[in-house]
Amino acid sequence: MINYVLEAFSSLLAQRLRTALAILGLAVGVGAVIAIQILGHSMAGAMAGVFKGFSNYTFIIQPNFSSGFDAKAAISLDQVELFDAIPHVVQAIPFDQHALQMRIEHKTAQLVVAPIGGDPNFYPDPFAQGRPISAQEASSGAHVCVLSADAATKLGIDPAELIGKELRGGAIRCSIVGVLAAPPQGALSFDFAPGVSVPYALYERTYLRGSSKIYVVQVLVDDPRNIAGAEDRAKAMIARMGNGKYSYQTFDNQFFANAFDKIFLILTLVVGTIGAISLAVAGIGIMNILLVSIVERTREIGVRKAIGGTRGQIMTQFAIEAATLTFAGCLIGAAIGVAIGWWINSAFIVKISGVIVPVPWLESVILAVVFAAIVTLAFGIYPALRAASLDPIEALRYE
Amino acid sequence: MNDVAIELSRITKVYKTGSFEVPALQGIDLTIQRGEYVAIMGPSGSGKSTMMNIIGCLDRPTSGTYHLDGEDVSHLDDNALAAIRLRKLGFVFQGFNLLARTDALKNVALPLFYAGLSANERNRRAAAALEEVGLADRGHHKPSELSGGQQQRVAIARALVNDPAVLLADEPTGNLDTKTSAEIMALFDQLHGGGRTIIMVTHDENIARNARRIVRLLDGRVVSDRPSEHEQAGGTKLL
Repeated sequence: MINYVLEAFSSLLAQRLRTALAILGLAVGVGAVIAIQILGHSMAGAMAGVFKGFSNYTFIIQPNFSSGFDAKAAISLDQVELFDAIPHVVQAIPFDQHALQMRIEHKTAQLVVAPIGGDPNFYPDPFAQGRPISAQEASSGAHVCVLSADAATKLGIDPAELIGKELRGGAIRCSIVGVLAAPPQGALSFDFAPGVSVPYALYERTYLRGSSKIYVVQVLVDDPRNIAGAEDRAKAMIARMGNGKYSYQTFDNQFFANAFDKIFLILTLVVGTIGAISLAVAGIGIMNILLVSIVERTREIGVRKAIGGTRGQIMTQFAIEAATLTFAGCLIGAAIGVAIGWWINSAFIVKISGVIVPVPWLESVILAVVFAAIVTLAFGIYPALRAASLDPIEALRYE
Repeated sequence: MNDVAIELSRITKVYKTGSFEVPALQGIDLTIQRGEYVAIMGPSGSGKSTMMNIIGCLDRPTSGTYHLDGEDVSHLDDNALAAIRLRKLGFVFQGFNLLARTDALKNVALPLFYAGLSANERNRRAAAALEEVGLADRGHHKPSELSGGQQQRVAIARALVNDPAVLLADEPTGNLDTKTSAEIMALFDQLHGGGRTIIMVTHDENIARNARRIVRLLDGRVVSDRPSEHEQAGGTKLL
């Protein structure tokens, strides 16, 4: 066996140009496929980002206006607390907002004020500074508030220095007790955290009356797993109150995640198609290089057979040659592909989007290498197989 | 010790092309002794190439028996025929058929690779064979760096390296000029003098005259089998 390996190596060495071209073609093909796979995945991941709209513990419910707006379908403030009776619901509050010009000392910014309940699970992001509004503060309408990271940025004040400061704007005046951390960013991510969260009681007292039509209610449940059930009961309950004349719809994180999944699926398909095209191109390139020398190799096989080489002996040598080409080409190609993919991913995609996406390194490498190996072995061995089956006389005359 | 190198009896070969059957050989009887130097002649289509292929164990007869060096080889399978070619036959082709990118020494050593010899032994015997054809100093030249005559000598060395019972040459001078042809014929003479059995297929009367016996084929039959003028003239150089 070692003799066949040596013979295969000396044959590869004798045909340096063909060997070098085959390895180069294979390496470029494998490298391109791997790089494209990796970049495609990290791009798609960066586009989708790590989406986080609401807290995972909340959903919103609103009239379904798809068949036309009807003010009679609105939910009034008085109806909001009816949702509290639904199993697994912790608290329901109005989902509403006011945009205000607000200021701290001499700094001002256009911010959005929205009501929030007294449960830490209402917040979509973790706290960077301070604490959530307490249940007591929320229900009594204390003059306290929590700022989002975005609001802190707009005000241009370091979050640590905001705690205890007083924020004023319109009819709102509140002492800052907490600042949220920035949500994970994606190129397409949204942050639904309002700029300024104030106790719902304070918000209601300031902007709403019992008969106010608020249209949208935010509902907090005890466990994210109970959201779907609570949504169905909430829709049924509110529809019953309108005698079934109006329908209602709910939105939660899962809804948005599903929508992003579709975008992600399309991106994945696009990336997969590009990958498939590059695989095909790489395959054709490898095939061409190997087929170019087929006349010479067929004659060579004729000679080898005429002087007494058996089919098995000749095939063994050619198989080792093809395997050597495959191994060398794939190894170099995988190194190139991973290096390019890693470099562009870390130097550009991660830097621009701020998202570090799990990249399927191993899958990309395996896919490219397996495909290229099959093509190389097939087109390295198949002509030899055919030539070795020919009569030596025919093989010698082959043109 | 059997003195018969080749014994063909009632050999026929029929080629099938679609529904046509083309009889290439129609009952050949031929015996060649060890140490003979035979030329097989005939016009195109006479069956001489077919006969060469059968003698060379590259093809099997449709019927009849063929004994090579005392062994019946008429019905062996492909691998057994390859083994026979390896042990008992040496080929010289019109187009030399050397491996283009491999140096002379390695070309000559190739049959020994299939015989399973060690690299050292292969190189030693290949060098000896090159010396026998007068190319001891050209071992590391590629075929493209050698003249046509030298390439054919390398091919002859390759045919001799496994010490075959029979040396088969198919138009060995077909690609060579007259002067080079004479050199190759001189080499064959020398090998014949050393006791080699040589069978040469040619359509060239001048080349055939170098053999000691000429077998003529026509339409798949032996039409004449007699000593050559060379033999009759008592060994005078004719070319």
